[in-house]
Amino acid sequence: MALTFFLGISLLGIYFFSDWIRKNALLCYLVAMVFAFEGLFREVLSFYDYEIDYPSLLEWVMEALDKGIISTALFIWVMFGGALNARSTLRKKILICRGEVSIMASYLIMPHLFTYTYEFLVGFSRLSRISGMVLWGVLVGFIAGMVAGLIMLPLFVTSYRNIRKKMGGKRWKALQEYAYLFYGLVYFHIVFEWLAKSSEERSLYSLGLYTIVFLSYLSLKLLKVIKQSRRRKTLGGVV
Amino acid sequence: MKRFITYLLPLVLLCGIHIISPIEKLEPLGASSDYVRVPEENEGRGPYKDGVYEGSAPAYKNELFMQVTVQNGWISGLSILKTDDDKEYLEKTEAPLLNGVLESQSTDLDAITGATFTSYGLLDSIDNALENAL
Repeated sequence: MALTFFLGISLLGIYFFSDWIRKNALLCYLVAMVFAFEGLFREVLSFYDYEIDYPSLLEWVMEALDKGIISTALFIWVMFGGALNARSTLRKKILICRGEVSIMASYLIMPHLFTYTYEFLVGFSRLSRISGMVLWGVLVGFIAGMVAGLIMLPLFVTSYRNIRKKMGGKRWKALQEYAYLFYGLVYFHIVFEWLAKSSEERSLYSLGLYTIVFLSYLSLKLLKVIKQSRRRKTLGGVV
Repeated sequence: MKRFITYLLPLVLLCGIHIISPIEKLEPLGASSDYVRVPEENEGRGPYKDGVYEGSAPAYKNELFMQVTVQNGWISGLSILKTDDDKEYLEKTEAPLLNGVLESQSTDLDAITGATFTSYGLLDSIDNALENAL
Protein backbone atom coordinates (compact mmCIF):
# COMPACT_ATOMS: atom_id res chain seq x y z
CA MET A 1 0.00 0.00 0.00
CA ALA A 2 2.69 2.49 1.07
CA LEU A 3 4.85 1.56 -1.92
CA THR A 4 1.96 2.04 -4.35
CA PHE A 5 1.16 5.42 -2.79
CA PHE A 6 4.73 6.70 -2.83
CA LEU A 7 5.36 5.41 -6.35
CA GLY A 8 2.24 7.28 -7.47
CA ILE A 9 2.92 10.49 -5.60
CA SER A 10 6.57 10.63 -6.66
CA LEU A 11 5.56 10.00 -10.28
CA LEU A 12 3.07 12.89 -10.12
CA GLY A 13 5.67 15.08 -8.43
CA ILE A 14 8.30 14.36 -11.08
CA TYR A 15 5.82 14.67 -13.96
CA PHE A 16 4.31 18.00 -12.95
CA PHE A 17 7.12 19.63 -10.97
CA SER A 18 10.35 18.51 -12.68
CA ASP A 19 11.33 22.07 -13.60
CA TRP A 20 10.41 23.35 -10.17
CA ILE A 21 12.47 20.60 -8.49
CA ARG A 22 15.49 21.49 -10.60
CA LYS A 23 15.15 25.21 -9.93
CA ASN A 24 14.55 24.72 -6.22
CA ALA A 25 17.01 21.88 -5.68
CA LEU A 26 18.41 23.33 -2.44
CA LEU A 27 14.95 23.57 -0.89
CA CYS A 28 14.20 19.97 -1.93
CA TYR A 29 17.49 18.77 -0.39
CA LEU A 30 16.81 20.63 2.83
CA VAL A 31 13.29 19.16 3.12
CA ALA A 32 14.74 15.66 2.47
CA MET A 33 17.39 16.40 5.13
CA VAL A 34 14.67 17.39 7.63
CA PHE A 35 12.95 14.04 7.16
CA ALA A 36 16.26 12.15 7.23
CA PHE A 37 17.19 13.95 10.45
CA GLU A 38 13.75 13.20 11.86
CA GLY A 39 14.13 9.48 11.06
CA LEU A 40 17.56 9.34 12.70
CA PHE A 41 16.44 11.40 15.70
CA ARG A 42 13.48 9.06 16.20
CA GLU A 43 15.78 6.03 16.21
CA VAL A 44 18.33 7.60 18.57
CA LEU A 45 15.53 8.62 20.96
CA SER A 46 14.27 5.02 21.05
CA PHE A 47 17.70 3.92 22.39
CA TYR A 48 16.98 6.10 25.42
CA ASP A 49 13.38 4.84 25.77
CA TYR A 50 11.75 7.92 24.29
CA GLU A 51 9.34 8.01 21.38
CA ILE A 52 7.90 10.77 19.22
CA ASP A 53 4.13 10.66 19.21
CA TYR A 54 3.45 11.65 15.59
CA PRO A 55 -0.10 12.18 14.32
CA SER A 56 -1.22 9.00 12.53
CA LEU A 57 -0.57 10.20 8.96
CA LEU A 58 2.91 11.44 9.82
CA GLU A 59 3.57 8.20 11.72
CA TRP A 60 2.68 6.30 8.55
CA VAL A 61 5.08 8.47 6.53
CA MET A 62 7.85 7.99 9.11
CA GLU A 63 7.29 4.21 9.05
CA ALA A 64 7.62 4.24 5.25
CA LEU A 65 10.77 6.34 5.56
CA ASP A 66 12.20 3.95 8.13
CA LYS A 67 11.54 0.97 5.85
CA GLY A 68 13.22 2.75 2.92
CA ILE A 69 9.99 2.77 0.88
CA ILE A 70 9.99 6.51 0.05
CA SER A 71 13.57 6.55 -1.20
CA THR A 72 13.06 3.28 -3.13
CA ALA A 73 10.04 4.82 -4.90
CA LEU A 74 12.19 7.81 -5.90
CA PHE A 75 15.09 5.61 -7.01
CA ILE A 76 12.69 3.54 -9.14
CA TRP A 77 11.71 6.60 -11.20
CA VAL A 78 15.35 7.66 -11.51
CA MET A 79 16.07 4.14 -12.74
CA PHE A 80 13.27 4.26 -15.31
CA GLY A 81 14.72 7.53 -16.64
CA GLY A 82 17.48 5.47 -18.24
CA ALA A 83 15.18 2.85 -19.77
CA LEU A 84 12.10 4.61 -21.12
CA ASN A 85 11.69 5.48 -24.77
CA ALA A 86 13.77 8.56 -25.65
CA ARG A 87 10.70 10.35 -27.00
CA SER A 88 8.43 9.71 -24.06
CA THR A 89 7.38 12.77 -22.06
CA LEU A 90 7.89 10.97 -18.77
CA ARG A 91 11.52 10.24 -19.64
CA LYS A 92 12.12 13.89 -20.52
CA LYS A 93 10.56 14.95 -17.23
CA ILE A 94 12.64 12.47 -15.25
CA LEU A 95 15.86 13.52 -16.96
CA ILE A 96 15.22 17.17 -16.06
CA CYS A 97 15.41 16.41 -12.33
CA ARG A 98 17.10 13.00 -12.18
CA GLY A 99 20.16 14.19 -10.23
CA GLU A 100 18.08 16.18 -7.75
CA VAL A 101 15.68 13.27 -7.13
CA SER A 102 18.64 10.88 -6.64
CA ILE A 103 20.13 13.21 -4.04
CA MET A 104 16.80 13.49 -2.21
CA ALA A 105 16.38 9.70 -2.28
CA SER A 106 19.92 9.26 -0.93
CA TYR A 107 19.24 11.57 2.02
CA LEU A 108 15.94 9.81 2.71
CA ILE A 109 17.55 6.34 2.77
CA MET A 110 19.98 7.34 5.58
CA PRO A 111 17.64 6.51 8.51
CA HIS A 112 16.92 3.09 6.96
CA LEU A 113 20.65 2.36 6.55
CA PHE A 114 21.45 3.52 10.06
CA THR A 115 18.56 1.76 11.83
CA TYR A 116 18.93 -1.62 10.21
CA THR A 117 22.74 -1.68 10.32
CA TYR A 118 22.58 -0.90 14.03
CA GLU A 119 19.93 -3.55 14.67
CA PHE A 120 21.86 -6.15 12.68
CA LEU A 121 25.09 -5.45 14.57
CA VAL A 122 23.35 -5.44 17.96
CA GLY A 123 21.69 -8.74 17.18
CA PHE A 124 24.66 -10.32 15.38
CA SER A 125 25.65 -12.61 18.25
CA ARG A 126 22.04 -13.85 18.40
CA LEU A 127 21.96 -14.99 14.76
CA SER A 128 22.73 -18.49 16.00
CA ARG A 129 19.14 -18.64 17.25
CA ILE A 130 17.67 -18.53 13.77
CA SER A 131 18.10 -21.01 10.96
CA GLY A 132 16.99 -22.05 7.48
CA MET A 133 15.35 -19.61 5.10
CA VAL A 134 15.03 -16.87 7.73
CA LEU A 135 18.77 -16.97 8.47
CA TRP A 136 19.64 -16.82 4.75
CA GLY A 137 17.12 -14.04 4.26
CA VAL A 138 18.62 -11.98 7.09
CA LEU A 139 22.25 -12.55 6.04
CA VAL A 140 21.96 -12.12 2.26
CA GLY A 141 19.40 -9.33 2.65
CA PHE A 142 21.72 -7.42 4.97
CA ILE A 143 24.85 -7.92 2.85
CA ALA A 144 23.02 -6.91 -0.36
CA GLY A 145 21.64 -3.83 1.40
CA MET A 146 25.03 -2.85 2.82
CA VAL A 147 26.85 -3.23 -0.52
CA ALA A 148 24.05 -1.28 -2.23
CA GLY A 149 24.44 1.44 0.40
CA LEU A 150 28.22 1.58 -0.14
CA ILE A 151 27.76 1.82 -3.91
CA MET A 152 25.13 4.51 -3.42
CA LEU A 153 27.46 6.84 -1.49
CA PRO A 154 29.79 7.82 -4.39
CA LEU A 155 26.80 7.95 -6.77
CA PHE A 156 25.07 10.27 -4.30
CA VAL A 157 28.04 12.61 -3.86
CA THR A 158 28.71 12.81 -7.59
CA SER A 159 25.07 13.60 -8.35
CA TYR A 160 25.73 17.17 -7.18
CA ARG A 161 26.15 19.26 -10.29
CA ASN A 162 29.37 21.03 -9.22
CA ILE A 163 31.07 17.72 -8.37
CA ARG A 164 29.85 16.22 -11.65
CA LYS A 165 31.44 19.11 -13.55
CA LYS A 166 34.73 18.75 -11.67
CA MET A 167 34.90 15.03 -12.45
CA GLY A 168 34.58 15.31 -16.18
CA GLY A 169 32.04 13.55 -18.38
CA LYS A 170 33.83 10.25 -19.04
CA ARG A 171 34.82 9.52 -15.45
CA TRP A 172 31.39 10.51 -14.19
CA LYS A 173 29.64 8.31 -16.72
CA ALA A 174 31.90 5.35 -15.90
CA LEU A 175 31.06 5.73 -12.21
CA GLN A 176 27.35 5.99 -12.94
CA GLU A 177 27.46 2.54 -14.59
CA TYR A 178 27.55 1.18 -11.01
CA ALA A 179 23.94 2.34 -10.69
CA TYR A 180 22.91 -0.88 -12.50
CA LEU A 181 24.64 -2.95 -9.84
CA PHE A 182 22.97 -0.79 -7.21
CA TYR A 183 19.48 -1.45 -8.67
CA GLY A 184 20.17 -5.19 -8.85
CA LEU A 185 21.33 -5.28 -5.24
CA VAL A 186 18.31 -3.31 -4.09
CA TYR A 187 16.06 -5.94 -5.66
CA PHE A 188 18.08 -8.77 -4.04
CA HIS A 189 17.85 -6.96 -0.73
CA ILE A 190 14.05 -6.70 -1.05
CA VAL A 191 13.63 -10.37 -2.03
CA PHE A 192 15.84 -11.73 0.76
CA GLU A 193 14.38 -9.44 3.41
CA TRP A 194 10.98 -10.76 2.30
CA LEU A 195 12.22 -14.33 2.78
CA ALA A 196 13.41 -13.40 6.28
CA LYS A 197 9.84 -12.59 7.28
CA SER A 198 7.47 -15.06 8.89
CA SER A 199 4.83 -16.55 6.60
CA GLU A 200 2.09 -14.29 8.03
CA GLU A 201 4.12 -11.16 7.36
CA ARG A 202 5.13 -11.99 3.80
CA SER A 203 3.08 -9.71 1.60
CA LEU A 204 2.86 -11.18 -1.89
CA TYR A 205 1.46 -7.87 -3.10
CA SER A 206 4.54 -5.85 -2.20
CA LEU A 207 7.01 -8.48 -3.49
CA GLY A 208 4.92 -8.85 -6.66
CA LEU A 209 4.85 -5.11 -7.22
CA TYR A 210 8.63 -4.79 -6.75
CA THR A 211 9.15 -7.75 -9.10
CA ILE A 212 6.89 -6.27 -11.80
CA VAL A 213 8.66 -2.90 -11.47
CA PHE A 214 12.18 -4.34 -11.67
CA LEU A 215 11.30 -6.80 -14.45
CA SER A 216 9.68 -4.00 -16.47
CA TYR A 217 12.82 -1.94 -16.05
CA LEU A 218 15.02 -4.85 -17.10
CA SER A 219 12.89 -5.53 -20.20
CA LEU A 220 12.80 -1.89 -21.23
CA LYS A 221 16.54 -1.49 -20.70
CA LEU A 222 17.39 -4.65 -22.65
CA LEU A 223 15.10 -3.58 -25.47
CA LYS A 224 16.79 -0.20 -25.54
CA VAL A 225 20.30 -1.69 -25.58
CA ILE A 226 19.34 -4.07 -28.42
CA LYS A 227 17.82 -1.21 -30.44
CA GLN A 228 20.89 0.96 -29.88
CA SER A 229 23.31 -1.76 -30.93
CA ARG A 230 21.25 -2.45 -34.08
CA ARG A 231 21.24 1.26 -34.92
CA ARG A 232 25.00 1.43 -34.43
CA LYS A 233 25.49 -1.55 -36.72
CA THR A 234 23.27 0.01 -39.37
CA LEU A 235 25.11 3.31 -39.13
CA GLY A 236 28.42 1.45 -39.27
CA GLY A 237 27.27 -0.27 -42.45
CA VAL A 238 26.32 3.04 -44.06
CA VAL A 239 29.64 4.65 -43.21
CA MET B 1 14.99 36.84 -0.15
CA LYS B 2 14.48 33.55 -2.02
CA ARG B 3 17.55 32.09 -0.29
CA PHE B 4 16.19 33.18 3.08
CA ILE B 5 12.86 31.44 2.39
CA THR B 6 14.72 28.35 1.16
CA TYR B 7 16.40 28.02 4.56
CA LEU B 8 13.41 29.16 6.56
CA LEU B 9 10.85 26.69 5.15
CA PRO B 10 12.64 23.47 6.22
CA LEU B 11 13.21 25.01 9.65
CA VAL B 12 9.50 25.81 9.93
CA LEU B 13 8.73 22.25 8.79
CA LEU B 14 11.02 20.77 11.46
CA CYS B 15 9.54 22.97 14.19
CA GLY B 16 6.01 22.23 12.94
CA ILE B 17 6.61 18.47 13.13
CA HIS B 18 7.71 18.79 16.76
CA ILE B 19 4.90 21.14 17.76
CA ILE B 20 2.34 18.54 16.71
CA SER B 21 4.42 15.51 17.79
CA PRO B 22 5.39 15.53 21.47
CA ILE B 23 8.31 13.43 22.71
CA GLU B 24 7.24 10.91 25.34
CA LYS B 25 9.08 8.61 27.69
CA LEU B 26 8.43 4.96 26.95
CA GLU B 27 7.38 3.18 30.10
CA PRO B 28 8.93 -0.25 30.46
CA LEU B 29 6.34 -2.93 31.02
CA GLY B 30 5.92 -4.23 34.54
CA ALA B 31 3.95 -7.34 35.27
CA SER B 32 1.66 -7.92 32.33
CA SER B 33 -1.73 -9.53 32.20
CA ASP B 34 -1.63 -13.24 32.89
CA TYR B 35 -2.12 -15.78 30.17
CA VAL B 36 -4.06 -18.74 31.42
CA ARG B 37 -4.86 -22.11 29.92
CA VAL B 38 -8.21 -23.79 30.35
CA PRO B 39 -7.53 -27.49 31.07
CA GLU B 40 -9.01 -30.04 28.72
CA GLU B 41 -11.20 -32.84 30.02
CA ASN B 42 -9.51 -36.19 30.78
CA GLU B 43 -6.15 -34.94 29.55
CA GLY B 44 -4.14 -36.81 32.19
CA ARG B 45 -0.93 -35.56 33.74
CA GLY B 46 1.56 -33.42 31.87
CA PRO B 47 5.36 -33.79 31.85
CA TYR B 48 6.26 -31.04 34.37
CA LYS B 49 6.34 -30.85 38.17
CA ASP B 50 3.57 -28.63 39.55
CA GLY B 51 4.63 -25.27 40.93
CA VAL B 52 5.34 -21.63 40.12
CA TYR B 53 8.69 -21.05 38.42
CA GLU B 54 10.63 -17.97 37.38
CA GLY B 55 13.03 -17.76 34.48
CA SER B 56 14.95 -15.15 32.57
CA ALA B 57 16.68 -14.74 29.21
CA PRO B 58 18.23 -11.92 27.19
CA ALA B 59 15.68 -10.05 25.08
CA TYR B 60 16.21 -6.94 22.94
CA LYS B 61 17.04 -4.74 25.91
CA ASN B 62 18.47 -6.53 28.93
CA GLU B 63 16.96 -9.61 30.59
CA LEU B 64 13.30 -10.49 30.37
CA PHE B 65 11.76 -12.23 33.41
CA MET B 66 8.81 -14.63 33.15
CA GLN B 67 6.72 -16.51 35.64
CA VAL B 68 5.46 -19.92 34.60
CA THR B 69 2.74 -21.78 36.51
CA VAL B 70 2.47 -25.54 36.11
CA GLN B 71 -0.71 -27.33 37.19
CA ASN B 72 -1.35 -31.03 36.82
CA GLY B 73 1.91 -31.20 34.89
CA TRP B 74 0.84 -28.74 32.18
CA ILE B 75 1.94 -25.14 31.59
CA SER B 76 -1.18 -23.41 32.83
CA GLY B 77 -0.25 -19.77 33.35
CA LEU B 78 2.32 -17.29 31.99
CA SER B 79 3.15 -13.78 33.18
CA ILE B 80 5.84 -11.33 32.20
CA LEU B 81 7.43 -10.14 35.42
CA LYS B 82 9.84 -7.59 34.03
CA THR B 83 11.20 -6.39 30.72
CA ASP B 84 12.81 -3.24 29.37
CA ASP B 85 11.77 -3.98 25.77
CA ASP B 86 9.62 -1.41 24.01
CA LYS B 87 5.85 -1.65 24.16
CA GLU B 88 5.73 -1.83 20.36
CA TYR B 89 7.69 -5.13 20.35
CA LEU B 90 5.72 -6.59 23.24
CA GLU B 91 2.41 -5.79 21.61
CA LYS B 92 3.55 -7.75 18.57
CA THR B 93 4.83 -10.78 20.43
CA GLU B 94 3.16 -11.19 23.79
CA ALA B 95 -0.30 -12.50 22.90
CA PRO B 96 0.57 -14.75 19.91
CA LEU B 97 3.61 -16.34 21.55
CA LEU B 98 2.28 -16.81 25.07
CA ASN B 99 -1.05 -18.15 23.82
CA GLY B 100 0.94 -20.31 21.38
CA VAL B 101 3.01 -21.79 24.24
CA LEU B 102 -0.12 -22.52 26.29
CA GLU B 103 -1.85 -24.14 23.34
CA SER B 104 1.08 -26.24 22.09
CA GLN B 105 2.68 -26.75 25.54
CA SER B 106 5.99 -26.07 23.82
CA THR B 107 8.32 -23.14 23.23
CA ASP B 108 9.24 -24.46 19.80
CA LEU B 109 7.55 -21.56 17.99
CA ASP B 110 8.72 -19.19 15.25
CA ALA B 111 9.87 -15.74 16.35
CA ILE B 112 7.68 -12.85 15.32
CA THR B 113 9.43 -10.91 12.56
CA GLY B 114 10.24 -7.35 13.44
CA ALA B 115 10.50 -8.36 17.10
CA THR B 116 12.81 -11.35 16.85
CA PHE B 117 14.79 -10.72 20.02
CA THR B 118 11.78 -9.94 22.18
CA SER B 119 10.28 -13.18 20.86
CA TYR B 120 13.35 -15.18 21.85
CA GLY B 121 13.46 -13.36 25.19
CA LEU B 122 9.92 -14.57 25.93
CA LEU B 123 10.43 -18.15 24.70
CA ASP B 124 13.89 -18.63 26.23
CA SER B 125 12.82 -17.30 29.63
CA ILE B 126 9.93 -19.81 29.66
CA ASP B 127 12.45 -22.55 28.79
CA ASN B 128 14.69 -21.29 31.57
CA ALA B 129 11.82 -21.44 34.07
CA LEU B 130 10.78 -24.91 32.93
CA GLU B 131 14.30 -26.28 33.53
CA ASN B 132 13.35 -26.31 37.22
CA ALA B 133 10.07 -28.07 36.52
CA LEU B 134 11.54 -31.18 34.95
